[in-house]
Amino acid sequence: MAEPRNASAPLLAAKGLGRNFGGLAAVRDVSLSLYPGALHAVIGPNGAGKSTLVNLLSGHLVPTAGSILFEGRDVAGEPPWRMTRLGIGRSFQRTNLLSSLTVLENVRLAAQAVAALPSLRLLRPASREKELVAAAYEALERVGLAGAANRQSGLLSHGEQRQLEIAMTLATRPRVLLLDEPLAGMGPEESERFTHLLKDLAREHAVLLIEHDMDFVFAVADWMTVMVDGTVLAEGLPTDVRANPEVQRAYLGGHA
Amino acid sequence: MLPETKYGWMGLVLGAAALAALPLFAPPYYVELGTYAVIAAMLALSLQLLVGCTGLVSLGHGAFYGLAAYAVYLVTPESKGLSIFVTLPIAVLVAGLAALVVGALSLRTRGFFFLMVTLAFGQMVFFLFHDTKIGGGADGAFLARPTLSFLGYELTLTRRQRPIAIYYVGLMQMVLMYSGLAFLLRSLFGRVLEGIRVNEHRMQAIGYNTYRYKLAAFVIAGMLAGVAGHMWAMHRGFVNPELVGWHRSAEALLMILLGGLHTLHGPILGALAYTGLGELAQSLTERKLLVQGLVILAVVLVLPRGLSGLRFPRDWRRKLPFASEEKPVPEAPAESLRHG
Repeated sequence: MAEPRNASAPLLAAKGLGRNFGGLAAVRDVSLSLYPGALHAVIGPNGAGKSTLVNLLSGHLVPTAGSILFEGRDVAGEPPWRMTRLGIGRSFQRTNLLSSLTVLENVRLAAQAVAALPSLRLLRPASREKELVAAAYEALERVGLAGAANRQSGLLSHGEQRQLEIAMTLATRPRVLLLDEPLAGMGPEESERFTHLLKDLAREHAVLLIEHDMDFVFAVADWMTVMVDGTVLAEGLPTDVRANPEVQRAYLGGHA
Repeated sequence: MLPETKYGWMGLVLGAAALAALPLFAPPYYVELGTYAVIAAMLALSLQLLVGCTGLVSLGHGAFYGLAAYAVYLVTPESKGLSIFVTLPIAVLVAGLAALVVGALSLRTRGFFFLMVTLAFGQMVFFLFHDTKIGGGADGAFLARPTLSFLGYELTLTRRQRPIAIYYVGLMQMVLMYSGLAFLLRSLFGRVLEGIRVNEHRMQAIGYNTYRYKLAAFVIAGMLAGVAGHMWAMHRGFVNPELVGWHRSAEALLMILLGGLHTLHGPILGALAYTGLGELAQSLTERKLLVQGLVILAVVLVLPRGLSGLRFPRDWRRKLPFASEEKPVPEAPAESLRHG
């Protein structure tokens, strides 16, 4: 199978990754590579193990088999906070915010987490740390939420909460972005803005995207993996995947 | 956590002034009662850092309070009290080290299990003093109280003056503790604790090793409980295992509930009200705890945000020239007690 465009080393690579829940293999023998500047989409029916895969890569689940290489170093089993600090950022499928805090504070805390401040600096009043606030505004502006900075995040509309979710992830300055159905619940206008943003992000990051909207996926993906029943059914360029008869039968149906 | 309106700050200043003026008009008995209340307030304040700020409900907090008091007992020679500048650091250090050990182990658990593990640790400390001869066993023991001396110069006090001086020492410590916590909550560190209270899972996902932050909070809270425990030893000159028992922790939790879970002045209000209520109930009936319990239950049901949720009627406030719009404080009662 052909490698994606860049011949450079992958930033994040999963090799033979597997996770059992009791007797059930939610993910088995999944290998994939994420390259900087490329958007890698993972599609598949519900229950195919896509979210489990993201949880494995982000450290929220510990793999029962295989390895995860970040810049060539095995990071499988590291806790989520360390994955984030390494540069592996993720968004959640179901919105997961600090809902009683303001929008700005959600993002500012994310910027603070990766700022690697010395312990004593943590005693400084939060209001005096202008760089963190600036970093937070930058992330908010990227997703188009700067105008809502002082609103309580729990009171945002569903679509805005999805945007904030992305902003928080961006504020942790990730190099790998794991996006678990970022479009779910966004209105058409927000989706369009997000499509642009995603194309932008894919230029600077290694992106793994899980998404159900096939038109959208085929429009933005550089490389695709199709998962069924926890394992990889096919992978390749979007055009090849679309043409693959096995994929058509198993998943796409009449769609492609 | 901090007052959000002019009224809040005014209330705070007036309250502090009233407490400072207490010995000027109150008979000695009530000054001593005031010292008890101030000690209770410091214990509740220290616990609030865990409960209200970080979302960690501990039932073992009394252990650090009691350990500090016992530390004073153990380092003080029988004949003569040591300077407060010697005993206080020792008491705080002992409480902090104990909190480091207990916290390091108990913070591996969450929610209900955390509650139970802290309770178990607290009871271990209780039985350490109850079932051994340390500190006079179950009967407790008297100690020479720490003195107000510095570099060989000792403040000599008459029998009448001492309770008043002790009251002011306690009050000063309480004010410092409140200010210190207020400062801490506004810092980057405090913001992280708030984030952990609201959604620990998300805080981990954005890169926080929440365990370390919770441990730091646990140790600071333990040290502050040590300040309260030291003050107890200084005030009473007596230690017994009751100081370490889980009742102490439960009482402190009740004071927080009574005063308000989401404010820093709540624990102080709660401790004053709890102490006053106990005194009143005792003078009226023989069923002190029953009355205290019923009143607390009523307050918590009627005022879900505790006594600090009390507000003046709107009409009255509007007549004041500097009345400011009060924003409704966004509340997150569901999240506030969720762990991870």
